[in-house]
Amino acid sequence: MVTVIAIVLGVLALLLFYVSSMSKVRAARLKYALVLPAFVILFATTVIPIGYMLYASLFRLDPVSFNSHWPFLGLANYRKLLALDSRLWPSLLKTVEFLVGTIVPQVAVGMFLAVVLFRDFVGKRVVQTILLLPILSTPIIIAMIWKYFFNVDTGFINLFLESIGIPGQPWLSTRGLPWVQAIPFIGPWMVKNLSFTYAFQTIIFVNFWQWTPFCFLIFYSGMTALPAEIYDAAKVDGAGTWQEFIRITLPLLSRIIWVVVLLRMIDCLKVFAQIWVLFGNADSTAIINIELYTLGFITSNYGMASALGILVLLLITIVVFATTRLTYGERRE
Amino acid sequence: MESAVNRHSILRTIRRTIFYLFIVAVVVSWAFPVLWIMVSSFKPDRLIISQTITYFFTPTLEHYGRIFTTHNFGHFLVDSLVVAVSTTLIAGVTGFMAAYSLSRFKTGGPFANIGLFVTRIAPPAAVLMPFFMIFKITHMINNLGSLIIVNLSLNLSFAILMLRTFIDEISVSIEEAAEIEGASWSQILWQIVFPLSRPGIITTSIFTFIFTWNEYLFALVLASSNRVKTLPVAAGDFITAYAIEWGPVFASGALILLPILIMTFVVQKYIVRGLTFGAIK
Repeated sequence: MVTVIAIVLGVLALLLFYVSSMSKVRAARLKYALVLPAFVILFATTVIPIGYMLYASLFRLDPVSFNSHWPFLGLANYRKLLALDSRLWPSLLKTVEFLVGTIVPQVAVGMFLAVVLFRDFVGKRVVQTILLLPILSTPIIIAMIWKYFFNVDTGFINLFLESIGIPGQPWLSTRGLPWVQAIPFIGPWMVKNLSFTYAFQTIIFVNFWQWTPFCFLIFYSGMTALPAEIYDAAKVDGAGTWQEFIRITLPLLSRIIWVVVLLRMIDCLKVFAQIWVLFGNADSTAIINIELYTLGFITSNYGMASALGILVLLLITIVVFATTRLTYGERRE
Repeated sequence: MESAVNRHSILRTIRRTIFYLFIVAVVVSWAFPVLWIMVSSFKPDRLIISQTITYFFTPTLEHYGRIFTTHNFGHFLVDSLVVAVSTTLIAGVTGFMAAYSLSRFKTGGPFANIGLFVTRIAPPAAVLMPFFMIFKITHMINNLGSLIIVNLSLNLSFAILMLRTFIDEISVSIEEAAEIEGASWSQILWQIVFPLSRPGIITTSIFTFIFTWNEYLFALVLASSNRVKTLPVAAGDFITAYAIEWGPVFASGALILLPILIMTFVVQKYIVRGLTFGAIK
């Protein structure tokens, strides 16, 4: 640790030296001199690892072969991943289910909270401040507290439900949700193929709990920027609260809503720790990030995990850029 | 007439009551779990795992005692701090210079923006493998240096984008006036722009610190020996497939959350900006 601290201090001293020598740099070159340190760090920590991953994805790599000879496989890792029976497909489906399942309620409830709290009332500052608490909190600690709350026997949720006469639920089990299971014909199929299980509901709920306040916060600050005259005019015309929302607030906030959806999408695609703490690498909640970890560090197939990493990066870049175009498309015209 | 007024005021009272009940429900839903961690970290074991809910009890420090004595949390706390502070300092200095250049000279044009955006969308799990392999070859597993490098990779582009929104807000005319007076570029940068961007630098540093402090996945893979470990990983160790030690979980949770909650209050004005990379201010 002492060495690390020494190295970090050395790097900082080097930066300081670099900065102090900057006065000699000609103005025309200054802009590049300023970007250089950040560029070097970003290049070394993004382009190089991704290039290395691309290379490694062409080999059969495990903890043993990694340290000796690397058997060349060509594109075999990719072929295996994209095969019909690959674990990639169910985990991609779960990722999409997770995205839809978390983002839709977050945006809806966040919007509802923003509309309801958009008035003066006693204790408004307190409420707003409390809603800030979950946003930056450590994801795994949040997951832990919910793991405790959702415990079948000793968890707060079930104890509370039982105290008001509702039977407790097996929140952390992989069993199907009873109300979905009960839907005639398609119910069991939905449970089996579309993850309508308690476990999946729980991972969605934990993400919902942490991030709904964030959606609220953005919608609320967006609403404060809307011109008050429009609302006054609508009042004169006798518009009700609901009409006001549908006809004025929603259209005026549409760009912000799309930005929130985009940001939530990017963020939900990064989720790992919460699911890991709640259910480890259980199949029923194995979204793509869990699959990446499992492949690399539980089955220890480094080559295959690298190939999957490349595929995921490609896929996510395409999806996010498509959504960005949708979000910012109108603006460019 | 009078009864109509009366009915109106009764309706209003009911509506207001429902509204405040809703507010209370919102506050409880979001404050209660966080509060529960803090309170339960002082709760005796037998009350944590009991079939009844206990709100009042004699507080005990046994869980804190345990995580600091038998589980070496003092050491891991220092590890976490070293990683977070180092990342914050390096990302802050290099990010500030780059942000200034991007803001004033539009260095790199659209490529800079797209490049920075791309690094923000990559899921950490997707780039886990190459970092692990590279650090394995260079014998940097279980070394805080590898965690600092990874966290720089995850946060530097954030720091640049965030600082840029603050520097964009500083009027160029001050710098132009200084230039006419004969100030050099480095004087302008460090004696004028730097002090003026202080709120931005503080906010960005706090965000970078929190993101690094919270980081779990890389810390789990790259440093999980008993010698080198960050706090989230150490807390995660109390949850195994066989048993969960809730007392230590709550104590470590409270320890990890406390600085974040305090910092959240400091940056609350800028949370929207920080979490939207400046897309919404």
